[in-house]
Formats: sequence, structure tokens, C-alpha cells
Amino acid sequence: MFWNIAQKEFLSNILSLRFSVAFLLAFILMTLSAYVLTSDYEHQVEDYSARVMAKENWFAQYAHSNRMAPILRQTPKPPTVLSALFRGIPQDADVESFYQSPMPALFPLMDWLFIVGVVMSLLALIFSYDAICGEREDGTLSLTMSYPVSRSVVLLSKWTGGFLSLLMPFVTAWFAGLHIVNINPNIHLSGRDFGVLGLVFLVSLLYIAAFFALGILISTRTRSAVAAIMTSLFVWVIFALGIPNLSPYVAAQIYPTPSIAALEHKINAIYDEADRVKSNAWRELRAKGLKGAEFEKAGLEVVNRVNREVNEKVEKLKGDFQRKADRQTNIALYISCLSPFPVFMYAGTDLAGAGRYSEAHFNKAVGRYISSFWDYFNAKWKKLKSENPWLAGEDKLDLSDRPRFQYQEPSIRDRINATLLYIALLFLFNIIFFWAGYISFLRYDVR
Amino acid sequence: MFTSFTDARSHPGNQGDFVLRFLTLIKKEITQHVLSYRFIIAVLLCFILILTSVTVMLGDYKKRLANYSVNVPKEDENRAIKPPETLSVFAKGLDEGMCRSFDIWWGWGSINPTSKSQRVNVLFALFATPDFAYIVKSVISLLAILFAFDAISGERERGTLSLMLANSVSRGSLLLSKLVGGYISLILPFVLASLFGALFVSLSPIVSLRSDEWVRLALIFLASLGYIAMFFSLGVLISAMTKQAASSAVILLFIWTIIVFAIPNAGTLVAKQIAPMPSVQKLEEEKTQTWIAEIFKLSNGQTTSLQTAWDEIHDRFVQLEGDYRNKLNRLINLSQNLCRLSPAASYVYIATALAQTGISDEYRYKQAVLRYRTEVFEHGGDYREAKIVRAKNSVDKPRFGYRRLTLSESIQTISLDVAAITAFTALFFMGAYLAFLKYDVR
Repeated sequence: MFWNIAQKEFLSNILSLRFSVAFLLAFILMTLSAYVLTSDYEHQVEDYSARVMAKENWFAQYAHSNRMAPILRQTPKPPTVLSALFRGIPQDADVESFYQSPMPALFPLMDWLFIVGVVMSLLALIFSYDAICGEREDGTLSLTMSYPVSRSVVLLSKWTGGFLSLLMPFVTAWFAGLHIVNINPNIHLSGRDFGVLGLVFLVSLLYIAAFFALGILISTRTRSAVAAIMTSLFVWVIFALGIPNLSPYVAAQIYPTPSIAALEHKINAIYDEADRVKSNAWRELRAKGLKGAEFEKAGLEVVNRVNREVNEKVEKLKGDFQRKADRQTNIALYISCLSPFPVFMYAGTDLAGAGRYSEAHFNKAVGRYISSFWDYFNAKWKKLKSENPWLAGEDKLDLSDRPRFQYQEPSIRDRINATLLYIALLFLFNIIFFWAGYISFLRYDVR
Repeated sequence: MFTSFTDARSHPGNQGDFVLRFLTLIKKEITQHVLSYRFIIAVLLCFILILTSVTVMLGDYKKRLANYSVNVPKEDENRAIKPPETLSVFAKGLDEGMCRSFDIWWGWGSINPTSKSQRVNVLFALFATPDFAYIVKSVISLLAILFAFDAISGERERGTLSLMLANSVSRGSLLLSKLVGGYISLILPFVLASLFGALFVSLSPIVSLRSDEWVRLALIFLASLGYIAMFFSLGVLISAMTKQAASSAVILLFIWTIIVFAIPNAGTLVAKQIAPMPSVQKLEEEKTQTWIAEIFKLSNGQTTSLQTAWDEIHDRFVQLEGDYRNKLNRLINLSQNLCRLSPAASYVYIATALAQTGISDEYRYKQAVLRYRTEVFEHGGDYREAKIVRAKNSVDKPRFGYRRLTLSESIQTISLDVAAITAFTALFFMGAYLAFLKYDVR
């Protein structure tokens, strides 16, 4: 009986108009975006190698001790195919430039996460909204129940058949899109990439299943299919368009952070004050009659002391601010986890290496690289200085044996660890929606 | 009035009779909608979303205003800055980027932006800004579809359509009554919620709307009503082309997804492939490498004087940035036009232009900053002369000025988009009429 009902559900869905529409929509969006996103990836690679080359050339021509920090700070992140398909946090999100393109602020760029997150969740509801109430309206539900079959079997078989029919367009579109990525001669997907793609695929299934179960739940709470589709769309709007977008702003209301401009002002004031202290101290030293090496030594001491104090103060201010900002972000995160859509986005972006966790991972890697560079540089400087005591900060150096930045993407295990909570939440959504649907179906008046 | 109606009844087929019957049809349509479940959903969505949005966007505006007051330049600072636009509460558009302050350094005229106020919250980057324009663009358009999808096909399924046409009612007036009645009941909750929202904003002590801003706000509402009308007539068109309400709903959701999400979001991406451009990181790196290299050359005697080095840096910056800006402008133009295939994008252009946070405003603002940069640079003068010291404190120091687009200029920039939405509405309306004339009502 289970398979009979599941088969009937599956076939009636496949033969319906919504199936063709879902197929068309998923197929067009996934394949087209796969094509455009891979082309975008090629541009990113081109841009990245040009940047690395420019840096190499610069070091070959102009490497010198002074003003090395600004060059080091601008360490480019190597693009990956997956971060092209699942864009996540925009790459220039933390770049402050007068010349940023304004367009993404108006229309976020399309990627696979967006297609699954917005389009597939909508399709899941369209496939499930009339699973129960539609059959009631047609009168077939009471007919089914007149057979010796329990309600739980009916619900489970309906879920199975319906979900399988929904998966057909999605799976086809996903693999067609993947094929388009794969046949591009400039793209080589590694074993790890396939592993990650598989994980994102599974998480997507989990996410779609959650919305499908939600649709069934709504269907068991309503008497007519029209009411069910209305409620489904209402819930979908709140889940997909309301909660995620509003949550950062609501968090900013609940837990305001001090303005970043005020922070920058405070920091500038500290620097100005330090400059004043330094020049006063020098004046005093001169007034004391210090000269030559003595003056230099005493002056250097003052400078070092003041710089140390300033750095401590600034670090403290920045640290405080960052803590508050992190707190606010976390509040936004918690609020947004009321809806499966953001949870899916966080899990997907972090698995694909384009999310918050991956960004932190990259920044840490850059920090490690910079300190290893300084270790190298200080040793080198000592050595060169011993060879040539007159070597100055503006003299050209040969740094061709310097360490290069090699970025190791977080391992699959780390990514899973970072997203485990989100994946568990998606499971939870599935269980809650299905369980609630089950309870509600037990009491459903099938007439 | 009354007599003319009684007259009309005694002479079937005359004008008054037509009006009366038409009004009855509209009344039936409105009553039916208002008593329906979808009306409750519409009321809930409009009020919850619009009021929450206005509240949080007002908070966001307040924050940017606070940032602005901290950043107002002191006497010795060469800083380009503008206060946030009041109407950004309704359509934030590009105001976030425009609200940064830009410090100009007279040495070689580099433009250093201060941080965006929300940079701290990376989550902001993942989801679109939930302002009024966004809600109209995505949610209210969906509501329009919900109100229209079964206008014809649903009545056919219930059998009431053939019943109605059995009376002496023309198909044209029936369709018109459906459009008018359904539209009125749809915009009722929307207009009420929007008015509440506007009232809430105008009562806030930090906001004082100038008279032209009131006009702009009214025009934003008007544009929203036009955009909703377009989706509503699209809904009726599809409903008149299908036999079952369920089919029209599915087809409409398909079209809605394409119009609201697929085209605008893919348009920018496609444009990037047609008009490729280097990343902004690349530009910034090139600039950093340039100035450090020039200073290095100077200290190694390859450049004769500090002034020459600075001039060198300035020229190179202007060249790099000019190249970049040209490519960017091409890209923006292209993606703007590609996105225009979707009326949802047109609507966003209209709303942001009216709120003075649109693409043209951003362009204009950046031009003003660039002009100011040139002034500061030229005023800074020759380093070898002592003029610099004077320049930093002098009274004739250039001031940053930015003249906003006037209302008529703003309207000019969006005439194409207004025309597009009007044309789409007319097209769908005509289509609905033609389809309904041929519709098999059984």
C-alpha cells in the first residue's frame, strides 16, 4: 500500500503542469548560471594571476625595508570554482575603495545557493501545498482512508512520492549545471571539490525537504487548496524574504554598536596626541642639551614608549569594538536561524568556502603569512646589515627568496565542523515540520 | 441621481444602467476579496513587513546620521561628505556607499574613504536590504499575483463565470470590473500600511521632510501602485489564458520568479562577462604599489624632487582610476540596461532615483568628489613653495559642494523605466482583454 500511494503521488505530480514548470525553471536557472558563473570564475582567475604577477614584479624592482606593511596587507585570495558557484559574502565586502561597483547593492548577484534557497524552496511548497487538502477537495482522501491503511503510512508515502517527484527537476538541473562546469577546459575539479559539491548537494536536499514537509504541514492545517497555497506563500515570504533580510537590522536595533566613525575619530585623536607628546619630548631633550647619538638614543626611547602605549590603547579600543560587533552579528545570526533559508545559506557558503567561517580562516592565514614574512625579513635584514652596516631603509633589497603566500582552503572536516550546527538545525526543521504535520493529519477530518 | 437610476432601469441598455451594473460588479468583486482569506494574508503581510521595515530602516538612517555628524569635516580637513538621504528610509539604494566620507590628501590627491557604518556586520552582505522598495518589489508583487490568479479561471471552475455572462453584461465590462475591483481591494491594505509607515517616519524627531521630498515620496507610492497594477494585470492575463486556477498560479509564480529574481540578479552577472573589468582590489593594489615605488625612486635619487614624485603619483593615479572608472561606467550602463528587461529592476531604478539614492545620484556624487579632489590638489600647489602651509589653513580653501538632482532631473533619468512599466501594464491589460474575449467560459 505504501508504494502504491507513493507511486500514485509521484505519477500525478510528474504529469502535472507544476512539474514541467519546475523542471523548466530549475533547468534554465541552474545551467545558465553555471555557464555564467564559470565564465566569471575564469575572469577572477585572470584577475588574480595578474595581481600576483604585479606583486612579484614590484618586489623584484622596488623591494626595500620601509613601507612594506601596506604591500603585505594586500594579499589576494585565490579564487576557487566553488566560491564562484556559491558566491556567499562578496569578495570586495571588506575592501574600502572609492571605486567599488554600486550594482551589487541594488541586485545581489545570482548563484547556486540563491537558486536553491529561493527558487527550490518555493517549488517545494508548490509541490506539497495540496498533498492533503487537495485530495480532500477531490474526495479521494476519504476513499484512500477507506482502505486498511494507517494515516502514518498515507502521510509517509505521500511525502516520499511527492519529494521524489520534486527531486527529479532539481537533481537533473544540478547535474546538468555541474556538467557544464566540468566540460570547461580551464576548470579542474579536484576530488575535494567533488566532496564539497556532494556535501552542498546533501544540505540542499535537507533544506528542500524541510520546505516540502512545511508544505505538507500547511496542507494538513487547511481545508481547501486555495487557502493552503495562500498560507504557504505567506510563510515562504516571511521565511525567505522577511526574516533573513530583517534580522541584521533588527539585531542592530536590539544591540547597537557605537558608530565606526566615532571609533575612527577616537583612534585618530590618540595618534594626534601621541605626535604631540613625541614632539614635546624631543623639544625637552633638545632643551636639556642632548646631541648626536645621545639625542638619537633618548629620542628613540621616547618614540618606542609612546608607540607602545598608543598601540595598546588602539588595540583595546578596536578589540572592544570588534567584540561588540561580533556580539551584534551573533544576535543577527540567532534571529535569522528562525528560518531555514538563512541556515541553509550559512551552511552552504561555509561548506563551499565562501562564508563567514572561510573568511575568518583566510584572514588568519594572511596574518600567519605576514608574521612569517616578518620573521624571514628580520633575519634577512640582520644578515644584510652585518654585511653592509650602511644599509638603510630605502635601499633596494633582494627578497627573491621570501616566503610566498600559499593559501590552504579549510579541510572538509573543518568545514563540516563549522557547519555542523546549521546542518543539525536543518534536520531539526525537518523533524518539527514533519512531526507537526503528522500530528495534525491524525486529527484531520478527511471528509 | 436617484431618478436617473430609476429611469435607467425602465430603459434597459442605456448608459446609467451600464454604470449601475458595472458598479455592482465592482462591488461584488471587492466584497468577495475583502471577505476572503487572502485579504487577511495581504493585511498581515503589508502591515507586518512595511511597518517593521520602516522601523528598522529608520534606525539604520539614524545610525548613518550619527556617523555623518561625527565625520563633518573640521576646518583643516579636506573631506567630502554628505548627510544620508531622508528618503533612504524607503529606498536605501546606494546611500550606504555614498554616505562614507572621502578624505582627500592634497599631496597627490588620493581619495581615502572612511568605513561604511555597517561594515562590522558581515551578514548584511548576504541578503538584500529590506526597505520599502524591496518589499513592494518582491512581496507586494507576489500579493498582486495572489489576488489575480483565479480572477477568470477560478470563476470558470466555480461555474459563476458563465452565470455572470448569462446576464446582459459585456465581456469588456466584466473584465474591467474584475481588474478595478480586485486592484482596489489589493491596494487597500497596502495604501493603509504605507500611510502608517510614512506617518511613523514623519513623526520621528530626527526626520524632517522638505516639501520636495514629500512630492518624491508621493511619487514613490505612485510608482509602487503602477508596479502593482502591472503585476495585477499580468495575473488577470494569465488567468484569462488558462482553464484552471491552479495552473495560472503555477505559471504566474514561474513568471514572477523570473521577473523579480532571475533577470535582475543574473543581469549584473551577465554584464560582467560581456564587459569584463579588473577587480577593485587590483586597482587598489596597483595604487599602493605605485606610490611606494615612486617614493622609493625619490629616495634613491631616480626622481629629482618630492614635487615631481608627487606629481608622478598623481598622474598615474588619475590614469589608473580613469581607466577603471571608464570600464566601470560601461559595466554599470550595460547591466542597467540588461536588468531593464525586468520591470522589477525598472521599479527599483524609479524608487531609488526618486529617493535620491539611485545610480545617477551615485554617479553624480562621485563626479562631485572627483571635482573636489582636483580642486584640493590644485589648491595644494607646489610643495617647494611655502604655499602648502597657507593652503591648509587658508580661508579660500576649496569647499566640497554637491548639488542634488532636482525633481525634474530625477524624473528625466527614469523616464525610460516609467515608460517600460506603463507599456508592460498596457500590454498585459490589452492581452487580458483579447484573451478574455476568446475565453471559453464553460
